Amino acid sequence: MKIIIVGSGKVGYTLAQQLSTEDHDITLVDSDADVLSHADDTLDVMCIKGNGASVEILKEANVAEADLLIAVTDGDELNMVCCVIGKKLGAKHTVARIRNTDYSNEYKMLKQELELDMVINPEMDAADEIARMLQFTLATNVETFANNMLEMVEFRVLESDRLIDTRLMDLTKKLPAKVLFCAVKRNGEIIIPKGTFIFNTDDLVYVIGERSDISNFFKYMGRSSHKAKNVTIIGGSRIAIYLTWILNEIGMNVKIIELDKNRCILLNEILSNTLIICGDGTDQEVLDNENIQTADAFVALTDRDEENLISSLYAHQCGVNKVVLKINRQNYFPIVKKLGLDSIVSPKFTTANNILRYVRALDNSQGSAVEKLYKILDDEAEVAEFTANSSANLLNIKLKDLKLKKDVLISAIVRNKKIIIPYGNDYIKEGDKVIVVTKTGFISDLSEILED
Amino acid sequence: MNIKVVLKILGTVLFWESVLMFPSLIISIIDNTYEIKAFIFSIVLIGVIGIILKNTNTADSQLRKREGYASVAICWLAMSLLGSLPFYLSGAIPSYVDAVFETASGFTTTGSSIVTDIESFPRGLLFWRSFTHWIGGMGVLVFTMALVPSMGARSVFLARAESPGPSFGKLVPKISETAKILYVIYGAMTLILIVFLIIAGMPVFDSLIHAFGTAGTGGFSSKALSVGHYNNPWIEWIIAVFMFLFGANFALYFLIIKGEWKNALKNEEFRLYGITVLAAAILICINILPLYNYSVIEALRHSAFQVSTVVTTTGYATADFNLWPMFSKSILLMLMFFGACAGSTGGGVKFIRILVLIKSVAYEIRHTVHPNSVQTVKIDGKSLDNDNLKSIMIFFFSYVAVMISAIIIVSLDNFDFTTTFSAVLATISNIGPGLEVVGPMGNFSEFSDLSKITMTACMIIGRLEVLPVITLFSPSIWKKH
Repeated sequence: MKIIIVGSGKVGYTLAQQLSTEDHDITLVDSDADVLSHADDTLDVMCIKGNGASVEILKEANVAEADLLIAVTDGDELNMVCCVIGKKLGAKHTVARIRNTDYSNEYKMLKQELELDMVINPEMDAADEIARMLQFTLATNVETFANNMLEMVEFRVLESDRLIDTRLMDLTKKLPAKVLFCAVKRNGEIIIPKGTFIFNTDDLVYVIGERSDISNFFKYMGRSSHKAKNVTIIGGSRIAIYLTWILNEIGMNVKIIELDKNRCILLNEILSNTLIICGDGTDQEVLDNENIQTADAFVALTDRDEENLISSLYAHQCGVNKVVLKINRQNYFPIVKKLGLDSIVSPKFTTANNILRYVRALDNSQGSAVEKLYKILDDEAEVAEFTANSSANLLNIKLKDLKLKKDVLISAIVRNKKIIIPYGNDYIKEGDKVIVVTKTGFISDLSEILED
Repeated sequence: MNIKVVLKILGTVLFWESVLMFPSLIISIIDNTYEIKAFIFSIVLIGVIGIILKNTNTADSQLRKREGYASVAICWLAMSLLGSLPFYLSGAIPSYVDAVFETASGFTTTGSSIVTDIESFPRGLLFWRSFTHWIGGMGVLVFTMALVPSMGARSVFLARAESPGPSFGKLVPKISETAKILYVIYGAMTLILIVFLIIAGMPVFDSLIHAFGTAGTGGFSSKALSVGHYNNPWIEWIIAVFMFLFGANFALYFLIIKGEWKNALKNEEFRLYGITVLAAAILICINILPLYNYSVIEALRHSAFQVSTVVTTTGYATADFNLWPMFSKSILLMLMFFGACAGSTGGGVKFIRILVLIKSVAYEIRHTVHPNSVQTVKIDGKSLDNDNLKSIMIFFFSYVAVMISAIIIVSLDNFDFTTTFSAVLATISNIGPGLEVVGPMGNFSEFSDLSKITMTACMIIGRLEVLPVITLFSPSIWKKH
């Protein structure tokens, strides 16, 4: 596809990087020459310097033939104008980043009136992600598939878990719930587990299933999955506001600690039912004062990665069950994970991922191409959602008779809004949604999972 | 510098060099001449070296600017050293230094020759000699990029180091697609030229040879008298026009294909190029009128051809301009220095740089008169930032510095000044013939080995526009970290 990305900030750059390796033609527009020359040096993309909302620049970027225009500059309004003009000049699809809370209730109208195909709000998406993590306190990461019917949950195996020292095939027989183990990361290596696989302590495991089944599974393991009730948030950023809205709706109590007095007043205006504390969230005395130990969950959302890390470590030490922190710099991820903090949110990363999913979905005009693609385990494994259509050469064959490629796992089938966790005797029918886990290598079509 | 990355690129390039020798081998086999063994040996040797180096493990090592520069310089050096094997092994050129000179002259599209009796060469060697022009014209690394798209995003550094001109502009977002488009335009234009030449009455094999020389703006001919051998005005006009076309920026042809005629013609560099060529042709025509019995058609035919061949740094000859008046020679010497356009197959300083330098001087003068005036140097309506200006001035200085150093070394041979100066200028600007001893009807065989090595270096330095090669001499680039 021909894609124009306006704005070469972190999100724009990440998108350009990912999409150019997936064989799309990328044109990057930005008004900052330094940012562009960095992109030009490191990516196989065309760079154009200028204002992305100007007709001349968009024409230079060949907008008339573009399949997709993504506007991710700093300015919401610029992004909107850019998309409107782009559409008028012939771009087939437009995506705009609109993050200001003032517009958050107007997405529907904006989408309609400005003919936007997708509106992204990084803070809202991040808040969604955090809310999902808080609902599943045992998991470090939760992804949903097939219109949220199916959940994929990441967790770390503890010594006390009941799945250690059992072969996977014996374990599956004993399990009270229908779940499937998709991928394991052990000592930096990705394993797609087979029947003979045995879990160790400290393995990072991805398991897929319906929500109730996953809850049962955790119960079986001996972990109680009680929902967080009291949540403490450090930093009254936009994410905090969205998160509070979501958490209030599902009945959680939220406390926000924010340093800036004026911001506190503003927060109080927007979130009238929430307790706002004016204080330094990295100060242990403040945290102790607020009885951090009694909180079920702790979320660090200040603007500084380092502050988030320190206060999260303290909360973790105090025994808070669930600690989520925001980290902007991707290269901090491995360090933070080593410290035992697995639940990390990066709004820019989330945004880029959401757009990537959308692009891949757009790209599926023919064949049984990928509809959704999630990268898990530090991008080393992929979960892809396909719809099986008549062109797939594996319909109505029992799964045990299919010769799958190495490291490919059919992890779930969705048929008539029902979820099937597949075993050897199940088969794929036309129209099924199929969820496949693979090591990264990008399978772009369902038929490609078969051995040649 | 990460040497593994460089070796891998070198391997890929050498592999393709050996593949590109096949057409010449086939011609030798058809003719059953003495150089068959030399070709087979060269193909196998270069191919094996290439395949071994190609499989260098470059896991988690990255191509950066310094590796890009070094790769391009090393590749060109290796290509010339190994590409000379067919000449040397077959015994056609008995001295290895001469053989390398001839090959480097081919790849860099210079066209300077040390061969005194070219017409005795077998066709296989002639074909290889001219084919190096065609490959070198658009660039070997650009060629491999078009064929091996997996070279990655950062291969833009290679394209930048290899492409003539101050900046390498992508035509489409993907670098491999850009390389493909360039080669398709290049190939198509060459094909058209071949057809034209055949129609004009040139034998098929000669058409190939001269088309390669014209397309790469090289200048190797299979005849001692060069294009003058045919004494056919049609052929001369066709070649003159095509030399001019190959000396223009190929990005313009892409614009024309896209239907943007107006933008292409508005290009400032192209305008300066066109006007200069036109003016030079007319001035020389007037100046040499008495030599051709006041026949405007005759004089224009020769002046246009000579201007076109010199400005595009091709180096074909139809007349011995050594015998022309001083005014004409001076104009030609100036054009040798200018060279063709950026993004073309030609050499020299390039019109875009001349244009920027002229504008910078005008800017400086205005700034002296109005010290508080604010203005930027603009090309095609876009202002250049200081980095662009700086890199052009640095290029210009280092170009001249290399030239002066080379002149001093070559002057050890004690030829007259015009010969020494024009020989160095002709090699560093990738033109081919110079004046006096190395004039259109002379050649470079009389120089000492030291001068030949110096001029071989000049050709590669000139083709890669100085910095990639000079960087190799920096000790810090060879350090591991």
